This record gives sequence, structure tokens and C-alpha cells, in this order.
Amino acid sequence: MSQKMEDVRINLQLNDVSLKDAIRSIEAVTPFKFLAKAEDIEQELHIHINASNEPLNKVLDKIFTGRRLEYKQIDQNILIKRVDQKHAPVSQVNANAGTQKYVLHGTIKSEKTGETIIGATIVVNGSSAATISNEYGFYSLTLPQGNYTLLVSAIGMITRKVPVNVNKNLRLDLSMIEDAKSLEVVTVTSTVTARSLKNPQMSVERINVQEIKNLPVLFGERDVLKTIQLLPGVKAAGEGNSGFYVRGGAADQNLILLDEAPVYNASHLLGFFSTFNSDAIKNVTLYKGGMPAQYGGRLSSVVDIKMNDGNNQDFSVSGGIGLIASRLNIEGPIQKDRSSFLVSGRRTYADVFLKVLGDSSLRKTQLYFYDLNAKTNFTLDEKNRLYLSAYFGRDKLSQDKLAGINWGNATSTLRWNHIFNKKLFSNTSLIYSNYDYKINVKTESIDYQIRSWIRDWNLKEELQWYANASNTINMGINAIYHTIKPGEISVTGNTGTVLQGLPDRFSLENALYINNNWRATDRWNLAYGLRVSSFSILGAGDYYTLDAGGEVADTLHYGRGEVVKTYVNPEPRVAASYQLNNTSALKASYTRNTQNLHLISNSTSSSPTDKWIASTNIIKPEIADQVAIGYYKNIKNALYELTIEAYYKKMQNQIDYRNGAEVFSNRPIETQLLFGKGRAYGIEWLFKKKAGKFNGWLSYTLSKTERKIEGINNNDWYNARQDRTHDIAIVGMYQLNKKWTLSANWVFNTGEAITFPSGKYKVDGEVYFYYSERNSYRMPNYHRLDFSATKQLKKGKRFSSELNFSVFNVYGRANAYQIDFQESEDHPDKTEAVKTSLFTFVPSISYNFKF
Amino acid sequence: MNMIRILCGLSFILGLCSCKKVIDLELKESDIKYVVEGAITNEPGVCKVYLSQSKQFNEDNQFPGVSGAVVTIKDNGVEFPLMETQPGAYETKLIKGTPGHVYQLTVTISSHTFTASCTMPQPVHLDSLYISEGPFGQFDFATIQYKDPKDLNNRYRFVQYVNGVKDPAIFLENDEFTNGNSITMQLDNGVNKKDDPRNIRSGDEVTVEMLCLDEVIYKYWYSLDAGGGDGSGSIAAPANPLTNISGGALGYFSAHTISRQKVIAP
Repeated sequence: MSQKMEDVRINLQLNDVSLKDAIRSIEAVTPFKFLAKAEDIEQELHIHINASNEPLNKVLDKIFTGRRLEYKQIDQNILIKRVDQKHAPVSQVNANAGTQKYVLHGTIKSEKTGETIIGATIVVNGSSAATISNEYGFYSLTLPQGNYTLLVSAIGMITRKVPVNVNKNLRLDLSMIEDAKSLEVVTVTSTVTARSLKNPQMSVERINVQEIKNLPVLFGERDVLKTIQLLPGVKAAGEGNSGFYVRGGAADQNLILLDEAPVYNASHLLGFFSTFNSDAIKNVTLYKGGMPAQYGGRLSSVVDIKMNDGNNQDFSVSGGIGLIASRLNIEGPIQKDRSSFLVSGRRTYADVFLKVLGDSSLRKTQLYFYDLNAKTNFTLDEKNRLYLSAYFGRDKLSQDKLAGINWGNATSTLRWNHIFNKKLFSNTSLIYSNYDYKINVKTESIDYQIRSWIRDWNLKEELQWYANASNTINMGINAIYHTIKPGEISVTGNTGTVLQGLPDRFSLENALYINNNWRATDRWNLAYGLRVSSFSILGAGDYYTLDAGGEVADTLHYGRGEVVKTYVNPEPRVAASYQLNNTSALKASYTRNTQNLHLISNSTSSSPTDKWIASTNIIKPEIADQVAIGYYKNIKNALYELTIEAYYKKMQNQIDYRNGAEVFSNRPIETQLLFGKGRAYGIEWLFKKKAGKFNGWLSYTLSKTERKIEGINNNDWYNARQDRTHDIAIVGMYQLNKKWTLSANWVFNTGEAITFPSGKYKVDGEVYFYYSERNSYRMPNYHRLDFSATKQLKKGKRFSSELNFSVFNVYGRANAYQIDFQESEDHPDKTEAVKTSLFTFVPSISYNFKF
Repeated sequence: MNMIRILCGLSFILGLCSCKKVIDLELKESDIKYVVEGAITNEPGVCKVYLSQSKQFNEDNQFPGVSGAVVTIKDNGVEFPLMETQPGAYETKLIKGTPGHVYQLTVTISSHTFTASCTMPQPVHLDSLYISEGPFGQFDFATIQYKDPKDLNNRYRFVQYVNGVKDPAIFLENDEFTNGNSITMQLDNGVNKKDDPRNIRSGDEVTVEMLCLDEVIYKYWYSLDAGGGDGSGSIAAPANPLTNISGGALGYFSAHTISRQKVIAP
């Protein structure tokens, strides 16, 4: 419990000191910490204090008399702010609300960088009205005539009180101040932002990149995709892997969007790093269920990643040097307040180490990846804004000239925000996305080249209509044209070439949606909508019918542009929230999702050669129906937060490889596949402390996920590979003092379901293993502790730098990455199981700077 | 997995070693299965069936033959019995495989009957065999040459013997991407250590057999190799190989042709 200023009496004599020094002196004798922007207090000099056993508030009143500053206590912190001349203080009580309604709208931005703020909450004191800023920082709020105080809060920002007199329709652009990090007299606390109890949206987590910057990392590389794995319902795809499973779904069932462009392979180097350079990222929103109708195309989750827009106030350069990679980020205004740019790059230099190494085979090895993000935006006028963003990343891995693989994503998004009027916001996007890989293999006589790509052109139009005080309607259309080269193998032999051209596959994915958020009563909020998705498979190309054994029975030829098949799926979405009291709420939702692009994989690690294929006449759209219920509680003024959610998900048309499928073959992929259904259910708990010197969370998931596929496991239900019964994550961050921040996380999960041999036999003079049920065994339980310490080196107005030390797997637990079965080397008459562990105790260090 | 190897190399450089350790696992007891391994070739005097049984994982690697089975083979409809010459080993010298013929095997033991069918493909000649340097010049491998016939769907398996000892690697090839070509292929068995006894050294006698396989048998070897039959943990969903034997036995029945070359390593 924090003390009140009135109750803290001080003895202090100061003569003609600066305000800064005065604050330091007060901090030394009281439990309070002061927060202020440097420029607000730097000019304040000539302070005199002569206090003997005087309450602190009286002392502060005297100091601030005649100065344009005000102060406010928030917990243990005292916030000092320049008094805003434009908004004179207004009574908070809203006794004079009229009947005439007006609309307040505008954009919420960061004062320091001009970045728009996504998901800022605006609560109206003395009224039940509230809203959240959209992906572009836009908000619109309908209120009866009267005087109000708006409480504007957002993750990583200081909550702002804005008095406003609503007597006409008003455009009110708001700017917010970043917490702690941009302040001079600091030890703090991020500001508490309560999870909205009124919003019917459930199963959602928002992550601000600033918020996670002190978490421990592997190889010194911060990674948002690894951070979301610490949340309930999200499971890592493997040791140190950026791939993840959400609520029992497969890794390909996550829709990963970077500035709206789908990213088809979000990982580098077999999954140890994600493609998202956190320097360039503003905000990540994860939907585990109840996806809003504007998202579609994947069954399990949506990870909506928004890049920074670029600072439109000042030039800034930031970067970092790590063990295996370096980063550089440059941003600044093109025209102050109106336009800005951002360029951010990252490259690994592991291959430099390889060159130094003695082993000749490794010396000829190339191994690196890089990412490049670029963005620019222009405010054309009050109502129009353009954004152009691009991402390009590539991995390269090769052994001498013998074998090589390189792969990567390229995306580009052009967006146009248009504010039609105070109630109608529009965004139009044209998006390009490409993922491709190339493999070269040189043998004694023949060169193989394997190429594959998936390329999208995507057009989106979305309207957000803040219809009235209780209805907000989202509607839009989306059309994506996919071109898929499903993996073409060409061969150059020493006696000529045999080209096996697999033709491109074409398809058109369309969607139309509408969704209404309805504030039914003060307690009840409802969101309901419908997304209708259609998927058309287009010629030219050959399509097949199969016989019972999975062999091609008939081949059908289609001409260019001919429609092979169209699947239409209505996807209803309903969500409701019921506020129990001021601090708790119940929510429930039902969502149907469909998926027409499928990733086919048969390896334990994420491989760039995993194949994306589109639905065909044989491969049907995957469908998932999910129901979820949840309980939400804010404790102690939302300092703590408890979330409990339970879900049940039913999946249709799930895909798996046939036994003995040939992965590298140009034969129709359908002949290698089997189809079936899935189910997943679980309960997720999240307990979070959101502010204070110590903050963090505890998450626990109890879950089950199974598949039943015709032709596998005697057609019985079996555990999906990603089934792990228990999943625990504990995350803590502690601000030790002005210089040091410590953090740690501990994770535990039940070993994943796996197929082990249950016998052995001899053929051809060798021992081979016999398998019975699919995934009926478990890998050993996984657990690990990571630790990180960040030291602030320099903290100037122009230049700041910090040093981060991280240790991954502190106590060196040898977690099983893979288990092989083999004849024993010491006793050839025996067989044994051999466990491979990857990362046991990995220290790393990185240096970050900003100016 | 070359990539895994590179990755391990990388983690070594970074001062962290991926480590391997033998562990104890409680594996379930499985039902005992019969294992039928039958072959007929175009060489005289070879039509053999070996009958054994599977064992639990923790038992030793001795797989004694099973006596007392009734084994017959049909050559285009004409039936020949196979006699037990040693426990579990059944043979006949009465038939020699003929390319194009369909062979049907029947094995009856106590109340079980296992049947299989296989067509002997047309032979392809193994033209030459020599020893050449491997990809990094550190190890030598057997290299073979042959001319793939113009017709599609030729499938091959190569078996390598060094001083009479069979190499466990399964070398498979088909002509999906190389139909009608002259093929040169290095039999890279993945050896990457100097002291590996599987290395080919100067003076070694190297023999390579080229087997032309029926599609079902190619699938058997392919799925045995790729399906994790060897116990590799990198396969997400290991499974038993696809066999042409019906009735619930493991193993295969293969009618294949053989072409052979021998060379002394320089």
C-alpha cells in the first residue's frame, strides 16, 4: 500500500537549488519517486524549501506556486507535468450532461516520436462510454453534451487525463508521453492499463515491444515470437524455436501479418530466430480465439504485427551489437509532423566465425541471414494519410559449391487511411507477399535444383463506422490472388537436361465481412458478425481424382483462368461480455475459421522446404469451430490482473502425410496425403502484475489436442505431436536501481507426444525398429530458467546506451531436442536410446545504443 | 541432415555443444510379429525366404529363424515348395527368376498365412564401378555408372560390400528426374570420421550390386529409410515401411534382377 503525501512529513532546508536537485533531496527522505519530462523541469531554478515536520503535499504546493507545473500522486510515484494552457481544469463530475449528442474523434500519438498508438483505451470519467484506438491510432466517441474528463491510457505510456467540454462535434488529437524511459528523474513503473472488461473481444494479448525489451534472450536477439510463447495457450515449437502452436493447432495455422502482409515463413535458421527485427516493430496483437471478422484464412491464431511508422519529430539512430548479429535502425521526419521514414536492418555474422575455424569443410560453409525493414508515411491532410512499408529477409546456407539453400520473404504494403467524417474511417491496402526457396545439390554427375514459391497480391478495403454511442460497425472486402510453385525439381545431367516443370498453381481467395460491436447495456456488450470466405482454384493446370489406394485414377485438364472448384464458407463470429462489477467480467465467444493454404511437413524442426499447398478438388478447406469462455478480474486498481479462459475447438479436414510419403517428388501431392479431423480443449490461467519495480506474470495451461486421420493409427484418435498436458511460464522483471534491470523466466512443459519404437526386427542383415501406435509416447518433460541483466550505461538527452547480459538455460538442463534409437556402439548386441540436447547454458551479451 | 550438421558446427563455435547421452526409456511391450524376408533373383539358385520374429527393444539383437513353416512360391501360376535348409531358412533351386514374371509367395506358420506378390522388372546393366573422392575430398566413395533405359519407372537399389562386409546404407534411385540418361552416382554412405570402419581404404575390395526393383519393393526400402525405421529421431511421425506382404507380417518379398561389379580401391 502506498502512503499518502499528506501523511509523509519531512524536514528539509534547501536554498536556491534547481528543481531537479530539490526532487532528488525529497526522494532521499521519502518513499516517493518523481516522474517528469526533462524539458519540463530543467528550466525551473531558484527553489527554496524550509520545512520542518511539514506534510509533503504542502511542501510541493509551496514549490510549485507560480510555476506552470502540477503534480499528482500515482501509487509511490509523483508525476510532475507542465500545466496545459489549452485545457483549463474542469470539474470531473459530470452532472451537466445534456441530451444532445456530439462526436469526439481524432488520432492518438506519441508526443516524442509522432508514432500513432494502437489500442489506447479512452475511458470517460463519470460515464460508461469508452473506446479503443484502432490500428492507425484513430478513435471516435459519441457523448451527450457536457464536461468530461477523458482517461487515456496505453501500454508503455503515462496515463493522461484530458478535460474536455463537449458542446459540438470535436476533433481532438491526443499525444501521450512515454513512461519511465523518456524521463529524467526516474525509477519506475510502466503505467497500469486495465484490460478492458467491457470489450467483448477475448483471447487477445497485446505486446508492446518496449515492454519486453528486458526479457532474457537467446544469442542476444530479442524476439517477439518467443515472448508470445510465454503466454498461456501458446506453445513453443521446439527448443529455442520461434515457431509456435496456439490452442492445439499446428504451426501453419497461425496467420502472421507484418503490416497486413502475410508472412509465410516467419523463421530464420531452422527456426531459432524469427524474421521480426524488434527494432522495427511497434506492436504485436495475438488473437487465440474470437478473431474479429477482418481476419481470416487460418484456423488457430492471428499474430498481427505492426511496424513503427518512423519518428516524425526527430532524427534518431539506434542499434545493437550482439554475439551473432548486429542491428541498425534509422528513422526521422521527412517533413516534421507530416511525414517520416524508417529503415531498419539486421545481419548475422556466424559465417565469419566459420571462416576462422580450422575445419576445411566448415570453412567453405556459408551461413547467414539478414532482414531489412523500411517504411515511410505521409500525412496528406487532416483526413488522408499514406503508408508504404516493406520487408525483405533472406537466409543463405551452403556447403562449398556442393549443396546450398537460400530462402526468404519479401512483403510490401501500401495503405491509405481516409477519414470520411467524424464517424467513418477507411483503410485501403494493396499488399504483396512472396516466400521462396531454392536448393542446389551437386553430385558426381547430376545437378539438382529445387525451387518453390508462394506469391500473393492482396487488396483490402475496410470501413470502421462509429455509428452511434452503442454501435461500432466494421466491414470490408478482401481479395487475394495466390500463385504457388509447389516445389519444382529440375535436373542438369552430364548428358543433358530433363526438366520437370510443375506448372504454377493459381487461386483466388475472397472475403466479405461485417461485424458490429454493440453496447447493449452498461453491463452487456456484444460483438457479432459474419465473414464469408470463398476460395477458387483456377486453371491452367491438371487436377486429379484418386482411387482408394491414393493413386491417380483420372487426370482432368483445365485451361487458363478456368475455375476448377470454388469453396464458399460462411464464418459466423459471436462474442459477448458481461460486466459483473467494477473489477470483473465474464466473456464468451464462438468463432468459425477456415484455411485454404496448408503447410505440409514431416520433419521435427521447421524446415524452409516445408511445402505450402493450396486447397484442390481433393484437399478440402480446413475448418475450425471454437467456443471459449473467460473470467477477467482486475485487482488493486488493475495493478494485478487475473484471466481464466477455457476453450473447445473442433477441426475438420486436417492433413497429414501418408506413411512412406515421398517428400521430394513431382508426383501429385494429393497421392502422399491423408485427411481427418482434430479436437483440442484446455484451460488457461494468467496472473499478471502490471506495474511497480517488480512486474511480470504467471501463466499455466492445461490442454489436450488430438487427431483422427483415416489411415493413421488404425483410424483411432491419437495425440497430435504438439499435445503437451501442462505448460507453465513464470516471467519476472525487477528494476534494481537506476542502472540495473534484472529479469528472469522459467518455463516448464510436459514432453510433446511422440512415436517411439515398441520393438525391433532384422531384415537385410540390419536391425530396424517396429512402431505401433502413433504419438503414444512422450518426450521427457522440458524445463529451463533464463536470466537477464540490463545495465544502463549512458542516459543522456542525445545519447543513451545499455549493455544486456543474458543466460539461456541457467541451470544447464539437458532438455531433449531429439531422441534416436540405434545399435549400441559399446554393445553391438544391444539397442539403445540416445538423447540429443541443444542449448545448455548459453550466455550472450549485447550492446544497444540510441541517439 | 546436412543442415543439422552445420548447425551443430555453429553451436560448437559459439561455445555450446549439442550433447548426446544414452538414456533409459520405458518402452511398452509390443506384440511379437513374424518377419518374412523373401527374394528371388535372375541369378541361378537363389530363391530364399527367411522367417524370423520381432523382439522387444531391450532384448539382444539375435533373431533366430522360425522352423516349421510351409513356404511355397508361384511362378506365373506354377507352384514350387521351398524346403527348410537351416532353422528359418527356406530355399528352392528349382526356379530361376525371369524378368516380367509375377511371383507369389505364401508362408503358413501355425495359424498364420502370409502372402505377397512381386513382378521381376527388366534388368539394367551396371556398366562400371570406380572409387572417387567424396564432396570434401576427405573420404573416398564407390561411384557407379549405368545407362537408364528410355522407358519410365526404373527403380534401383545399390548394395555395397567392402571386403565382403555389407554396408548398412540403403542407396535408392529412380528415374523420375533422369529418365534415359547416363547416370553417374556416388554411393555416399554419410561417413564423416577418419576412423569409421566403413571407410574405403586403399587395397579394399569393393563390390556393388545393382538391383532393379518392382515399385512395391522400391516403396518398401524408401519408406524403411525415410520413415524412421532406423530409429532416427528427426522424423516427425515414424512409421513401419509399406510392405507387399499381407497377413500382418513385417518384411518384404522382392523379385529383382542383379548386376554386379567389383573393384580394388587404389
